[in-house]
Amino acid sequence: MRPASLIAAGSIAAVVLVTGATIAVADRQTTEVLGGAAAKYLPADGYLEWVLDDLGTLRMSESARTIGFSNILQLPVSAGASVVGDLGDDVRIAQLWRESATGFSGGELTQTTELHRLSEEGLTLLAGHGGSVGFAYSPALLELPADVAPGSTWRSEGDALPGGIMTYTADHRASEPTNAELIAASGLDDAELAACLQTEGASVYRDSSGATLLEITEMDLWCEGRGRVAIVGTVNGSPVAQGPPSSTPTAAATDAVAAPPGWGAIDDWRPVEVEIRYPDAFFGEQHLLVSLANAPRRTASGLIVAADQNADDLVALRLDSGLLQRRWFAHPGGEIIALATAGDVTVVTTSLRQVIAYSDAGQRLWTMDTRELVFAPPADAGNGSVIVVGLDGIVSRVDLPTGDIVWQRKLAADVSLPATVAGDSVVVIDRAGAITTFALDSGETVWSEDTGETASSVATSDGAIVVAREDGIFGGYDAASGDHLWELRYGGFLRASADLGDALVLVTNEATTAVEARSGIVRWTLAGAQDVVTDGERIVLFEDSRARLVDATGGSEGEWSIPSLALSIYRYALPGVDGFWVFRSNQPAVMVGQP
Amino acid sequence: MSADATPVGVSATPVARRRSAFVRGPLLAWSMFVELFDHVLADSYREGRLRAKAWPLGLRAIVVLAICGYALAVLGIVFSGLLRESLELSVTVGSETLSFPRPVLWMLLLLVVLSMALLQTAALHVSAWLSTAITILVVLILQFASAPDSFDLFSPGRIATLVAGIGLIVFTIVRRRYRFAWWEFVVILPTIGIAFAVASGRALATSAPSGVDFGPAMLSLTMTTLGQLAVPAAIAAGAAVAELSASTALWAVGVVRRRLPAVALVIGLVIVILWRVWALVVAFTDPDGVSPLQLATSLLLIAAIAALWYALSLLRGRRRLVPSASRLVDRMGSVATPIAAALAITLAPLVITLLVVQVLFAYGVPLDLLAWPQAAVALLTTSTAIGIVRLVVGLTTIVLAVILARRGIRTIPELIGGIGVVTVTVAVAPLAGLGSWLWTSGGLTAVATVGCFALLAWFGIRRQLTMRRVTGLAVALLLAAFFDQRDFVSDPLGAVLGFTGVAFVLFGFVWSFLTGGGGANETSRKYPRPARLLLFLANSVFGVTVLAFTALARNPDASINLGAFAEIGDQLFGTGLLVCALLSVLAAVVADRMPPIEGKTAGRSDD
Repeated sequence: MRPASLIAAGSIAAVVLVTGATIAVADRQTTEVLGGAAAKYLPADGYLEWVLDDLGTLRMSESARTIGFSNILQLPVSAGASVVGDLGDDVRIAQLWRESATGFSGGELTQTTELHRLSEEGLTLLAGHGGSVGFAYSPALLELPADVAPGSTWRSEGDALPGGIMTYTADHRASEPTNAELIAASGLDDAELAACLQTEGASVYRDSSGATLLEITEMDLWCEGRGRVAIVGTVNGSPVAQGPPSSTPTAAATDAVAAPPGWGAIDDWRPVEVEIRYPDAFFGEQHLLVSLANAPRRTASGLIVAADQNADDLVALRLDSGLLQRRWFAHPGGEIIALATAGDVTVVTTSLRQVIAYSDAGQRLWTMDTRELVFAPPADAGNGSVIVVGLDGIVSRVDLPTGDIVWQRKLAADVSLPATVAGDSVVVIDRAGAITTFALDSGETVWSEDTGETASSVATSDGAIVVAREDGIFGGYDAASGDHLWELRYGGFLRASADLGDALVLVTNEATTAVEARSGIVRWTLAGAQDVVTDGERIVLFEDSRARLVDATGGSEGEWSIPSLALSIYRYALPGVDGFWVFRSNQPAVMVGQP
Repeated sequence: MSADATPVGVSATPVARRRSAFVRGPLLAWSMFVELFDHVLADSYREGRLRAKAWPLGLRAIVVLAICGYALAVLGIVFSGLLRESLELSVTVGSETLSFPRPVLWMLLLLVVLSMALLQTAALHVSAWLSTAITILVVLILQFASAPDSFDLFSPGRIATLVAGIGLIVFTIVRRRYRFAWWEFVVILPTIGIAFAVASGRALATSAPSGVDFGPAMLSLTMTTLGQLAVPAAIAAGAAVAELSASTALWAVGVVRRRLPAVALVIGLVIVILWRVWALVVAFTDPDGVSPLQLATSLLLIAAIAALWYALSLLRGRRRLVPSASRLVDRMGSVATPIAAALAITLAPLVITLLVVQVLFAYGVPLDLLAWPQAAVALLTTSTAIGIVRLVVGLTTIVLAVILARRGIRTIPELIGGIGVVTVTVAVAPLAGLGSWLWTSGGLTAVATVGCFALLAWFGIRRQLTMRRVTGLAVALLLAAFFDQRDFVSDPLGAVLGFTGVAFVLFGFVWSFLTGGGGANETSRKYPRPARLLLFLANSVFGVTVLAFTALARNPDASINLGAFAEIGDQLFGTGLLVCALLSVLAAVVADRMPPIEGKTAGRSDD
């Protein structure tokens, strides 16, 4: 090679390297985790730790790691305002650790929350609520300094509630884990203790007159990646202790089946705005904003569960005294991608490539790791199991109480649509347009058909499945044999479908069509809509700002004004026992009838 | 002499003959396979590959760099599943969930920058209008990249891209009068790349403390906006599978005819007949098969193209001349890209407007002032507008075919005329509300098969079934069979990739990259060889980068669904090629001529 060529090649290679390195460096703008040495003791987002206290109360402690406003806005208003005022402009970049403990004792459910912050100072406690006493610290209570190590000592003091209603002083020191009672409560062996730190200290809370309200002495065992694993101490002289239980708790069997809605007379159906609230024994009832990107679902017991994008929480609501009251919330970790209910169990899929199930009491039942993300909401198989379909085409039947995989199959192409259960069969359509039907019990392939066209939806009725293809064709297939029964051309985009037993209502933005699933005969056609819900006999069609009840013959029985879709970021309809719900992001729900 | 050898004049024993046949059979089959592979794949590569002939100093290094970038994107596609499983995924949940393996994001940004640099370097040495258009596009993309750095009106990111943009304009004006020099690329790449890095780095650095990773969203926005520019390549890539199917059919018969006794061809014809009979039974009995209406319109399409060919031959004054099927296949690569570019013509103003609107909005122009240009370009994306564009392109192609035929040119007029007729029908049917009337590929192959059977019977009854006709009919039936099964290439690839919608385009892209460099090897005063080469590379690298983003995001709609556009290419070019090739072969059958199925046109041209 000539020297000139060498120079040219070398120069070109050099500028490529420089340009590539510049782009790579510019792209590596990671957020530095603050908190110094204290940070390593914090659990990851979605981490679960079971805790048993000396009174026999079992608690599920879930961790959420966030940055910014989201978890501060979830605090009771006065506590949140205090924290925002204390943090000032830093609230936007505050690195937070939220520890929520759900207690299951004697059938009664309690939830307490502590909000911590990682900063240059170390780990501090900003607020706590949900119990009989609430706190909003100013300045924040120092829990672990940034340079924490055996031998460290620290002190903090300030307001424990806004306006100096309650003040606090706290003195702590750190050491190697040595306390026998604490170690026994933790259940850890020597090797595990090597990654732990013991802190001990005393906190005194006084009212504005200086009288002591609360005196706490405690010894905590902090372990790397697990948070506070065990605590022993006293509260106003009464001993307290908590640590991990000897075995992971199991939830009761969950075989409840949701009763189908049965809508009666609609004379008293009126749209009513319903606030979403949560109770707090200390701060009082609080408003709750729920940001939705998934349709809320209903459990067999009547709970409404929603994925709240504000804090990536799962929120369970129940209608009580004209309000939607939060019964519990949970944090599976990461972002919630899909949400489904099966009986009394709620199943979510997350951005951490996990499928996680919660009981009707908010107890995490199991966690299943997947290789790929799961975009499709898991499908209720109706027999105590759910069908989970991964984006990578892996179809799993998962036992609801245990999370055990009953069977697992792999499709040739990727899948984003949920499975459909039709009788004894599970129908899955991959993105290449292949319909594959598995036996529900064994997972054996019953039949498969390559339509060659991408599908946008699949519905089932009367032993038939109806596939909405993206080329504008509805295709009817016999669920048992796979026989192609009929085809019907449609216009617009499919929005939703509803099963009326012997007919399927297919809703596109251009037309609503009731089709006999086995024959493809069109019974009636109405104008297009955006969504539909049914009680199995009638349907409610949702247009831009109107909901319309339609009977099985296509006749209109009534209509109601609902919040406009054009003015909503997301709007979801949910059928109820005797009516229906309309949910929007960060807005009160609208109830029609008595859902 | 070896121990096994048979002495001259002495007959081999029956055992030795059997052993010899046992060895020769597989050897013959292997050599036939090698020959077929050589002609179908290797010949196409040899004729269409980039040739390092008369390349100026430093161009080879740039080509090697672009090929490395191309290979990197292809590897990203092939190993997208593995990368997603093993790397941290960035996930954004919303109406369209976006997930992307975060650690490889910068590589895609680098490939986008590389494409821009190749494009801008080419712009220094092309015609004035193209140079201006490319420079405006690149400068706009740079300003678009810095739009999110919105902390100040003139933040560091914006200043960097403004300076880079002005620098590129000045550099382009200055260098336009000179010949290509390798250091132009050395200047342009870091200018674009570092400005891009500063802009994106600033946006990321601003959002990172809030826990927001702006990178995936920015890449998604970039790919969604710019991805439209990959559409012409995707449409053209749709022709690849049909091209390969037709080529395989032609050469398979050619190899059998030349390497085996005549009886083998007859046996082959019988096998193909049985195959096609089975295909017809399925097509006519399956509810998803061919309807009588589609059969009729398919027949009409073939008749329309045949009529056009007849008209073209009249214009040329040489009635008997019908282009050879192999030559039609050879010419497909050169006509697909310009027609694809014409079909995607509305995307250029769409992209430019989107870029301008987003840049102006970033600099504080109120959204309501920007509503009308957005509404105007939105009209270009309606199905009516797309239909009208296709109709105009189809009619223009037919007119062009007529003009070329009047000049005495052969093959190209027949090919583009056929594609033009196909395009017009595809455009008119939905515009006229006759979508269900449109011919289908199944209908076309069924008509072709029935036609071949009829000719077979006719010539058989009349005792005129010569070996030439047997050969022609075998080719025609095999063309129909392979066209029916043309996913035989992309389907296995799709199964390996485990992601739908990518395999077909990937195959087309790679095929075009390997065999479509003919134009880049030529030169002219307005479009010298280095500029052609750089344009070819920029187009190739950018197309495969958009595809890599789609594959890594595991979402065909993450930016732009190139698979859908490749299917359009398959529909228009693939069908056009099929009908043209069939007409060519059947004309030879009727005239009792040996269809010229083997002769590559290299070194010979009558076009």
